[in-house]
Amino acid sequence: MKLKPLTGPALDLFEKVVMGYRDYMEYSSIPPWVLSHFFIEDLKQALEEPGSLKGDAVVNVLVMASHVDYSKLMTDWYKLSIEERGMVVSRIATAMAVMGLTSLLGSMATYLDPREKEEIMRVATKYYEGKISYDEMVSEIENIIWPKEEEKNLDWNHVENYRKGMSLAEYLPKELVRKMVGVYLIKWIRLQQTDGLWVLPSVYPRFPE
Amino acid sequence: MIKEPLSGPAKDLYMKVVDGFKVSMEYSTVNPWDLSYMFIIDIRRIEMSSEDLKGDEVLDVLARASNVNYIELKEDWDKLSIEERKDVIHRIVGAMASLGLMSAFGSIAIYAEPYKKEEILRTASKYYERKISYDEMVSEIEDVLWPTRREKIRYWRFIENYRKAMSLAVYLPEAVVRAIIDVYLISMIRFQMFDNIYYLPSVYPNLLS
Repeated sequence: MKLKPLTGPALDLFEKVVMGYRDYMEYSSIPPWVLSHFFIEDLKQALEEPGSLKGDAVVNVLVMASHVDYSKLMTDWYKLSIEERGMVVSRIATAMAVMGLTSLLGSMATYLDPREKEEIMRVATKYYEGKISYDEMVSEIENIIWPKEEEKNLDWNHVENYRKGMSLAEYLPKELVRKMVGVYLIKWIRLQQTDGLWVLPSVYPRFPE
Repeated sequence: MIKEPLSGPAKDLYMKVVDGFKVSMEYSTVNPWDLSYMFIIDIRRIEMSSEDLKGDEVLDVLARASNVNYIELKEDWDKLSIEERKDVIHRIVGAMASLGLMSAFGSIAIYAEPYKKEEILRTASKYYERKISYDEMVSEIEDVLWPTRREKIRYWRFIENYRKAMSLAVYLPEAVVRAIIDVYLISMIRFQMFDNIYYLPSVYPNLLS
């Protein structure tokens, strides 16, 4: 299941973009899952252009996503074969999908009220045990957060963002999504049940080493 | 393990302080674990003084910690018996300790270098399986994060903050500390090892705001 580790300029490019993107997520006023959805769509669009990996259209998207200097990314980009470029871009899209989806699942485990969290944990457990599909889980959770059609209409912007966030799973292996749900919607919520305090932090600032 | 739920003014006070504290943590330039440590020490000092919880000195600390108006908190406070005040303060301290400790462990699970995360996972598993004590685990993780004497001297301030953060465990039941470690240092790191995904978001903004 483990992917072959990246090396050399491919790894350098990957780390610059992913770390830059993670920092950008922290300061952006746009929710991480919406950001990830947006940049993955942009990457897909850039990749659809004929010969996209030969030019710098993709790099322009990576610059916007990571806030890393164009020339710094181009230095690594030039050293890669077309195949390596395709592979590293695919890994970057995966990393973006992981961070966006994780942040959304973590947000649910952090902010919803205890009753909703418990219901979500029950639904997530059904998915985790293979009793329902991912799409069914997404739809059931949506109905827990916005139980009435009226609420969905009123809060349509958040509902749309929720759907975009949850759709990031399509860029990830099924087993990874299952593990993610296991950690964030089951373990994180169960932890809050353990002490009955129902609190989780929403920020994890860098621990200086 | 689950405590009897709070109700009435005790619950109102608890919610105002804990929710306010959580929001302060998000916007503060001080690390969550340092904030928790600082406010808990202040609360404990008042609890042990001659004034203890009969007066409202502790409300000053709660107002500062939560950024909630003193008068708003006093309205609830005045309705509580001394026993109820002790209970609610005990729970607020528990919530602050929990938030600070989770944020510190989460930060380590997110930001430490991959090879260090794997060592930390091994150490945390030994603690979880009761092969070493909490203090031994804290000391071993400190050596993983700052392995050389030179680093320990150079980063003494970070080490001091790390020790303060880890000491928040004294305000929590052992079972809760074990559950926190299971989630943050075992499940979250193990999740990253799957598929070599060594990047997680550090922010989980409210999906409904």
